[in-house]
Amino acid sequence: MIKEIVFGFIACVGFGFFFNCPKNAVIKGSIAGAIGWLVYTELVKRNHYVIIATFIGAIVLSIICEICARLYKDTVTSFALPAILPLVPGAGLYYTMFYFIQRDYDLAANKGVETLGNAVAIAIALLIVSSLTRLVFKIIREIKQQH
Amino acid sequence: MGDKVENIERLIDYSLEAGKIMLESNSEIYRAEDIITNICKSYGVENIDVFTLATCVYLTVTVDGKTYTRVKRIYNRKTDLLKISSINKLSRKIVKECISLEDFHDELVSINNIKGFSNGIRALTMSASCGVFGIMFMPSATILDFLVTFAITYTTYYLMQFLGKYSLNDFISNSVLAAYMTSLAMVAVVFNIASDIDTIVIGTIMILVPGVAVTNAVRDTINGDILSGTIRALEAVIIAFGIAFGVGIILVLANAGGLL
Repeated sequence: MIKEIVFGFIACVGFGFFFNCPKNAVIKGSIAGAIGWLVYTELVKRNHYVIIATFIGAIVLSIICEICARLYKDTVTSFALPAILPLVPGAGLYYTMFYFIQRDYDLAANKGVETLGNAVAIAIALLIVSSLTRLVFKIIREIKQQH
Repeated sequence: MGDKVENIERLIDYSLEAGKIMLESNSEIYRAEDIITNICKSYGVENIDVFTLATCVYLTVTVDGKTYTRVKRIYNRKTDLLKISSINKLSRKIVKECISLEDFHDELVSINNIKGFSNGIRALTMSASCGVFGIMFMPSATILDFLVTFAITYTTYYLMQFLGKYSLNDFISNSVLAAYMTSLAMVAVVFNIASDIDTIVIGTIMILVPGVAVTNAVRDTINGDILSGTIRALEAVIIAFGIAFGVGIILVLANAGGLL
């Protein structure tokens, strides 16, 4: 478990530097990424479906990123872009190609659909979280204005 | 009067420049539009229409019955979160305390020249991160696999910088990079330096994987910028196909040569 957190953290830090994250956002975004990765691996270990695990991991990490963005008054993407990367299905993309070249079309189609599903799961998770946070903050603002 | 017109022209130029920096750094569309609108508003311009695509900004403002229009085309995009965050802070500052146009321009120039982390540090951390990715997906990976992935990613980073100068399209540059990485991985496996080609390729291609394009496509779409969302989703698909093509062509060659 500690291994997963450390690996997830290092992976995110690398991308944080690669995308030229603001210095104070790198560590926070990477912690969010490490937590998201931990959730994903723990769910996969417990034999949950990979796409569901990706979805829940992405939900958890994007909630953390939205909170960070509000707390530190920075753009959400500064935290979320590096954090999301461990969940992006690079391995799936490779295996799809690998099986395709081995002429194992069944497995290739299998992997291809799973890869696509993973990407869509990440997209929907981001979509839900950022729509909900926007809604919540709008409601809070309206309540504040009424008082 | 002439002074005022000149000021408005300058204001439009500078706020478009701010929008251009945002989009070149791959920011969300709504954020770029918001920033241009907020800056113009805080300098007292009321009638603002801004339309932004991932590749272009159109800005029209009307002052005293006169209309001023500018179009700015965006060619090269490269993710740079520090620039996005700095422009964001600058726009907040302008909204709060209206700074002079000269100061605004100076700040823009300094933001545009921000370097952030040096190339050496970026290459090193990125290589370490890709090496770790190999281990994350393949628990059987050895320390040698990590080192090989590290070395390949390190050289790929500089090749990427080199190719970036020639502004090739996404498909070609990603397939060239993916082919380069896969062939090096193949060499490492053939010479028995690394145990497993899967680990190395999975680790190294993470540097190319279109995570940013996917994230931005979603964020643009939910903000109602469906056209830009589509552009970015298509960009992600093109990058993914480029990677698959580059990896695939080397695997086919290796298969034909009996290496696989």
